[in-house]
Amino acid sequence: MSKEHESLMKDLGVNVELHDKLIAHADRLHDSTCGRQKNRPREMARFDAAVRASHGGRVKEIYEYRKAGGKSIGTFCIYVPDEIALAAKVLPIPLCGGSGWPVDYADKMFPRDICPLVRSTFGMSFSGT
Amino acid sequence: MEVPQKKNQVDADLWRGEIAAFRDAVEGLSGAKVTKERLADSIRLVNRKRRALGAVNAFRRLEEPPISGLDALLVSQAALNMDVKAFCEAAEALAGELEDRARRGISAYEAPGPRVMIAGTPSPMGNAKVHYVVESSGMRIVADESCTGVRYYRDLVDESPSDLGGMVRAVADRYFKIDCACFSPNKERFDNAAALAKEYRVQGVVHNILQFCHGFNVESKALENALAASGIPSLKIVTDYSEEDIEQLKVRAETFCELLKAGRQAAGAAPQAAQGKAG
Repeated sequence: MSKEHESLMKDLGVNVELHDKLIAHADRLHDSTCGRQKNRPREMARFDAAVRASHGGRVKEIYEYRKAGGKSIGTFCIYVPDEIALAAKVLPIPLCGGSGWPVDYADKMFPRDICPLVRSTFGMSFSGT
Repeated sequence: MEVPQKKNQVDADLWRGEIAAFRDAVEGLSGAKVTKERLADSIRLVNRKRRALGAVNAFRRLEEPPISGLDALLVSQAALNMDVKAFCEAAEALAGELEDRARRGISAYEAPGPRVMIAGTPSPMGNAKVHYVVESSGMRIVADESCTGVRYYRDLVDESPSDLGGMVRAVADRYFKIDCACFSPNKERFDNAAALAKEYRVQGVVHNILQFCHGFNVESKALENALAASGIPSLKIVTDYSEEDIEQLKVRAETFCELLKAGRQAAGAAPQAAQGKAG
């Protein structure tokens, strides 16, 4: 991680050490699933980059947008009407988590027998990643 | 926001009320009003995203899909992560490449395994477990009946209303069409799933149910029965994000794959059997 990005992460209150582990985990999973395929379209490169950016470049984009006074909301599920938010100059950011790594951190607040998607998302929040 | 659980008029009214409350909330947050011009722009922009997803996924109908199920899932996941315009450009460029690959008959797969559809819960970025299990067991995922699939991009917002009230209603009505398992009855979902299975010439359906998502878990039996009526067998997988059960799931997926291959052979032999009976 670049020094500049590290200071951004610290500014956001992110636990940088744990965050590095999350990234390593996400990269390994992506490489061992999508990355293992042989006949991929070349244009998939932009989507591979989006996986990495979801914890890096995209965070920076949103950070800068907010610093410039832009408003954003976190959203769950596919019922939130993006059109209305965007028309009111509010950026909707879907939060549904897919990473298995932070799931156990959700124990802090939630029972174990609820959906892993919810546990993943809040586990990221509770672990500061 | 409160999502209703039925689709009667009273529920549609409740939903329109929720959309109005959401509009008040976002306007309150930013201090900017939802204007006719900006709403028209955002409706066109989000529809463009849905059309781009539709265009990429349509190539999976082909006999030799130029994009794998794993990659199509990644595109859907990115739709929820990337900046909308950046996503549209990336997806439109991908669709262009897929058109070229389709023309040249380039498949994303090394072997032509059975065509299957994933049905049920979403797989947000970071979770491609069931897709990986299914495709590494010899099947080809050609359709996703999930919230990170067709449920996200199938319906467009009607772009024809020109007054603000009509435009907001068009947005509300589009989101009310989503066929989530939280609705009961949910015949819409069964009809949509059957139509999708037919359009993509699916030989089997894998129900991908996130643990404790009771709505989709309970509904999967009824959907299985509805699909069985059109001769499409199902495999139901209930799992979480952990990697512990991947090998066990692979055993089940490989068995299902063999069953589908045997079914295809039996279907190929069926006319002869029928003739035999008649004779």
